[in-house]
Amino acid sequence: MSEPSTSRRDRNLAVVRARIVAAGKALIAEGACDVTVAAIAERADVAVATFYNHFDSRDAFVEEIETAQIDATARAVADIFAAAEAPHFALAMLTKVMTISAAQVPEELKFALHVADDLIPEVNPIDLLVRGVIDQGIASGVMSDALDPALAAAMYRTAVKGAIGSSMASNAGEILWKEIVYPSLRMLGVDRDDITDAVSVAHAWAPSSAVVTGEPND
Amino acid sequence: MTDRRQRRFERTRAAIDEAGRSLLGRIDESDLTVKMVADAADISAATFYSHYDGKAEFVSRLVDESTVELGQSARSILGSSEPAASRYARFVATVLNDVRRHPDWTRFVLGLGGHQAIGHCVLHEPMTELIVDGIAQGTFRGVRRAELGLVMTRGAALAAYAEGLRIDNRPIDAVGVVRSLLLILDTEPVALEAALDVVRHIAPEHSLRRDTGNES
Repeated sequence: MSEPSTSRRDRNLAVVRARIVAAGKALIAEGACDVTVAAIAERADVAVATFYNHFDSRDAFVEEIETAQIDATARAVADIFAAAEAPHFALAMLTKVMTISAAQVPEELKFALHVADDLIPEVNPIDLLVRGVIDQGIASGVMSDALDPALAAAMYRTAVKGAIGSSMASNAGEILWKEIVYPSLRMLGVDRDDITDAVSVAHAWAPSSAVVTGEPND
Repeated sequence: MTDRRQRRFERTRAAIDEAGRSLLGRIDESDLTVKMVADAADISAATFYSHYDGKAEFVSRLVDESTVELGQSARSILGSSEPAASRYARFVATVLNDVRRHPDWTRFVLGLGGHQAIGHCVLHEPMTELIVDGIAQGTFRGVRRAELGLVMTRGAALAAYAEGLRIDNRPIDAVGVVRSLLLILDTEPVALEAALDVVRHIAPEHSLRRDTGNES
């Protein structure tokens, strides 16, 4: 089951580390711009010295968890898009995963969105993936009204993020992903019948993971 | 105070305010210093203090004045008798004009520079009324919840404004942006075409910002 090297001590270390990472994510997602080591330690219920057993500095910590998050989100989005048969299906599936994540792991999703927001579009892997899909959609004619892919991707992402964020904030119970898919695909010029197809495909599709998180599943 | 002194005093104040709005369009309030404002307005710090008690008073006055200004301009567009979709289009196209003409001011009021958005609260109410109107008139057919339509269009519009501010050598496609936003609301086709016509004919000098008149 476990590698010989995984001693109890190692496992404990991993548990503490995960707690520190979760605390840091939650604080950053809440919008604290200068998260201090003291605040992270307090939230994780560990000593400040324990924090430094795991990470060299606050900056190194933030850098590490943000990079891990971006990689994980990009991988998850790429997986979803690879499973989709058409560009508009891909976006509907992504919206479904995000809304499920918003309900099940709101802190994780908030952090993922927060990190993605801080990157400029040119190097934002999530934006690049969405842009690629919109590019295909424009080329195949299914997103006939989309503006240039970069602008369309930015508008799409912000609209969907806003809808999910407001549903999270209003605590409206289950978030209705279909209600978000329709306007967001319509924005790109996808016509009604194609949207209906995308909704039924995404409805029938069971995502392998509901989560777009920074920690690989272990 | 003599007339001439009074005019000079007002001119200096306008320069200080302009410098403040411009800086706050680009940097965070916490990073702003009186010295930066004085340098940008080309005055001494002492002169700044003859107009304002300090940074806190200065920023709150700027925000208050811009809030009033923005609120009045927005109401005059969004409260006209045009159909809802056309009013919506006119408003968005006007802000896109501002992105080109007053980039720092637009960043400042929309909160795209790091300063807390003052436009958020001021614009929320008239835009909500407008969308509720449009739903009632059967124009915005796609939104069952005005709140969701508002949030999605506002988010998408902000992204378009931000993109417009980022790319200054390529004018942003105002008709395309408005079309995307109206599609989110699933605007009835005839109303959509009429609204896009409004955007096509909107004068480039249309602005939400009232010029101070102190420039000469």
